[in-house]
Amino acid sequence: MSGISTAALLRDQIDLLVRHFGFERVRATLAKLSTQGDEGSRAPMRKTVPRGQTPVRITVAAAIESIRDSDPEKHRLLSEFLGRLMGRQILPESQDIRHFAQLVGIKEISGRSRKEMVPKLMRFLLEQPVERLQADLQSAANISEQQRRMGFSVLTDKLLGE
Amino acid sequence: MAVCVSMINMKGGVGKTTIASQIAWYAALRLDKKVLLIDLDPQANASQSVMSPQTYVDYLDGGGLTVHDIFEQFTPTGTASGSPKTLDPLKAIYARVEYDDGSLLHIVPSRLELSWTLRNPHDKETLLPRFVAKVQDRYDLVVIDCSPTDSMLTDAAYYCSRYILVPIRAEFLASIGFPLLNRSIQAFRMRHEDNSVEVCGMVFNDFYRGNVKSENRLARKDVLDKAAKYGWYVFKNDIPHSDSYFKAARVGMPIANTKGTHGKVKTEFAAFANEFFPRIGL
Repeated sequence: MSGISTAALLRDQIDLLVRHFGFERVRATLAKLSTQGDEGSRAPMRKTVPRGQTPVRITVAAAIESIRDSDPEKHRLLSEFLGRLMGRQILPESQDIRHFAQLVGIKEISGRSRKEMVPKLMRFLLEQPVERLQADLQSAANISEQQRRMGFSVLTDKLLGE
Repeated sequence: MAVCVSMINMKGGVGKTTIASQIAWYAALRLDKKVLLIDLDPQANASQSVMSPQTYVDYLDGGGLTVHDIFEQFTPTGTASGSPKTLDPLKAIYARVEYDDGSLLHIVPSRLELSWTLRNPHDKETLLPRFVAKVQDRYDLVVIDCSPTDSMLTDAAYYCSRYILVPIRAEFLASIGFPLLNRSIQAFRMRHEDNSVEVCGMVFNDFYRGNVKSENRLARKDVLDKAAKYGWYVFKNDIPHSDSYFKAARVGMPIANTKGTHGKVKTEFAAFANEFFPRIGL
């Protein structure tokens, strides 16, 4: 599990809704749900999480989903990025996340595991302008232990004109 | 206006590039400063490390300007080159990272061709200070990583700098580099009386903790004795050896964020940094 508390998860979700729909609209909807005695609102949160998906992934995915209409390009870039991130096609190790985070402008990303760092990284990326994301996300492909080991080879080939 | 400090020692392999890079990182990350790192070594190790090898190669392949272009901006390259044009200084700066709080780390990369500049160095030493003068209002700190020679490049660094930091290893040949450097600075000051460049101190670097050999002790004592006689400042906080500095160089990261770095190493570098920055007024 992610180590993120239910309260924090709820707060994050509400924060996203407020940012996307505005405080008044969210409040009005909650009030409406409350008067309807909505059954779903009493259901334990765990049951709403699809099998095989962690709350972290749901939170991040929901955050990205919330910008689908307002910022379709950013939505596309981040959805694709998250998919590759979760599949470990990019930034496969925690040190890769740390390196990438530092590269794109997070001075120090907290968390020991990759799982702890991914939501923080994604939240930061969500706040960035799409023009910056385009360049930043591309650079993620170059960050891996394999790439780091290739540094000598890359420089040698450049200097010797291969 | 930025404070400019150069890492200089005529001896190679004393840690100039490592300390220049790590100081630049520290100022940006811990002190929230705007930092420009200038790579003034044709070996371009600071560029390769801070930018990462692939990004550095891509930058050069993409026609990115380097410190070599600053020195050669007025050099005619052929009959079709037309009248000389002033280089746009911002085009020689690579933005390594910029943070939301305004702090940043930029770099003027180097390239091997800078060594060609040394074959025809006449009248070029003022081009770097002119470049720095044009951009320094954008920064709090300019760090120059110098090559281990006394050449036009060193003069260019003296012109730019308010301070010089001297990394030194506790071994005989490395320790001789310091009096040579002082002589070079003295000669420069005699030629340029209005210049106020001064050595802010020397820092012992890259020795093994708990395994200090008698030769190291002797070399250190020699330097400390002369430092007392001539009034040179020696930093109280050394930078002992750690393989993590090699790893930090490979991954292009600050030592504090490099995986596997022992807490003691981070603390030691921070102690040095906390002694260094007040000495240069930051």
